[in-house]
Amino acid sequence: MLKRITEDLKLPAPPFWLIAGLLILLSLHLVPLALIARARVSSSTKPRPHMILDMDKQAKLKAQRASSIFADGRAMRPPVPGTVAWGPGANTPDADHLAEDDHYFRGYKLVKSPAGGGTDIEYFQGFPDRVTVDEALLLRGQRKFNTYCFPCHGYGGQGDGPIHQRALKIGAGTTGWVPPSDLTDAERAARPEGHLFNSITNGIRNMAGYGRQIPVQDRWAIVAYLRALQLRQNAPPELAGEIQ
Amino acid sequence: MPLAGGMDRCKDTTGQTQDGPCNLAMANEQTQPNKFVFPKWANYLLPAIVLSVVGGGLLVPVVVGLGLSANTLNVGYAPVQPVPYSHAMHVGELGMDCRYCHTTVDDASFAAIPPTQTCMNCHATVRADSPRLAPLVESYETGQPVSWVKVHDLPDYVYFNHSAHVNKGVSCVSCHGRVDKMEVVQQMKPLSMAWCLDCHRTPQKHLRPLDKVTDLAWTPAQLSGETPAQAQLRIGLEQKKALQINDTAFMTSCSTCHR
Repeated sequence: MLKRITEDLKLPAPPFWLIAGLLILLSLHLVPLALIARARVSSSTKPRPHMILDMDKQAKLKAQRASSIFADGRAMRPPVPGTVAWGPGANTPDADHLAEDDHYFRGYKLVKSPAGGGTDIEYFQGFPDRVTVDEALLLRGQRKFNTYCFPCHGYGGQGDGPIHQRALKIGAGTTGWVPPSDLTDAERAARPEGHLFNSITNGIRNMAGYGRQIPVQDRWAIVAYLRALQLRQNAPPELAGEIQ
Repeated sequence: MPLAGGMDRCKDTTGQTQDGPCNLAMANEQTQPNKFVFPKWANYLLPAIVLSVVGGGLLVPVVVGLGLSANTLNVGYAPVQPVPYSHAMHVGELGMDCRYCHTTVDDASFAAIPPTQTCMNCHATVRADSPRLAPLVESYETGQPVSWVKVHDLPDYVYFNHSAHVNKGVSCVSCHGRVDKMEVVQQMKPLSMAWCLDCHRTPQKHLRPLDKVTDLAWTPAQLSGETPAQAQLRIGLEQKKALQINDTAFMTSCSTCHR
């Protein structure tokens, strides 16, 4: 039996579920992109994922890393009390491992007290033999001074650095703040080089010692630069133009 | 399916028997669409599938490429530190030099996180009783280090050397961003190998005079008619020559950064 085909060739509108499915797919594809965009503009307190963890984090100890091997949790070992570093890896040449040069390493020597009994500290005048005061040393001293001393003592050494300013500003919470010394005053200018060196190394009054932060040679460079600052500050007026 | 019951009996889809001549095809066509013929909406399947496959095929590499890129994964890491130390205040506001605390950058591969003693240089008296500094005071009293969280953490097979960079005119800001503006330190650069090589191939885009290495706000002084990029290139090339930067072959050799 024949049937006349009179079907409409026009397609009917696509069914609802097809449109809905496509729309869902279309919006789903934005999800990973949105997540990526968010990760790119925001910060995270979680570290990045590691694809190959044992390559990124190898079972070796590096500087200042934590380690479960030692009881104190440090990978780096503090020096054993009563020992000195010696040999390859030590910061000082072998000849200096005992730091026997009092003038260079300490700036003072211990002498028997004339009154008998204890010992007195005698500061060395001038720079040790192995420190050559030249322009390079002064420039190095300036760099180091502006790094370590400037925060309290100021660029000119007059005790007006930003830490001091801030300590005054937040005064309420500051207990026992002692204003930094004016390093260019007569008292400091009259001190022997060894005394200045020792003050940097071990601190003085309120100031902490910087011996751990600044190597010996750089401490002498700072002393040299300090002398230059004092010279500039206390120069007679007729010389003022010549001293930079 | 053979018709049961001869020509005059047939079953429709509801299972009821019908009288009269039975023409299955005709009966079905009149009551419901033939289930063996694709419905008309099926014409939409091909374009829909093609669209989804092509779209998905484009999307996957984009998502994988962007999602796994170091810019997405590495940048923005800002861990919570045991003490909320603000570089913005200490460096930006007070003007302290990076090297006051990170003393070893000039001489060592590792830019040391300062020991508690360095903090106590000031905080023994300044804000000594602040609860936010409690971990510091505890560390000072017990001798146990403060557990600072490492932010810029390269894979262990990379041997980055700070002293080799800061002594050759690469500023802190090139890798760490404007730390002097950060309340909380955050990784700003991808620190990926491609990113490292970008500078190793053309160091002149980043080199600056040695005394400006810790000056994070430094910008190259422009001659008249020069763009900032041109000024940087000019100064960078000068520094590259003056500081005797190694050639590209060395700078891009595997063993320069890997062992």
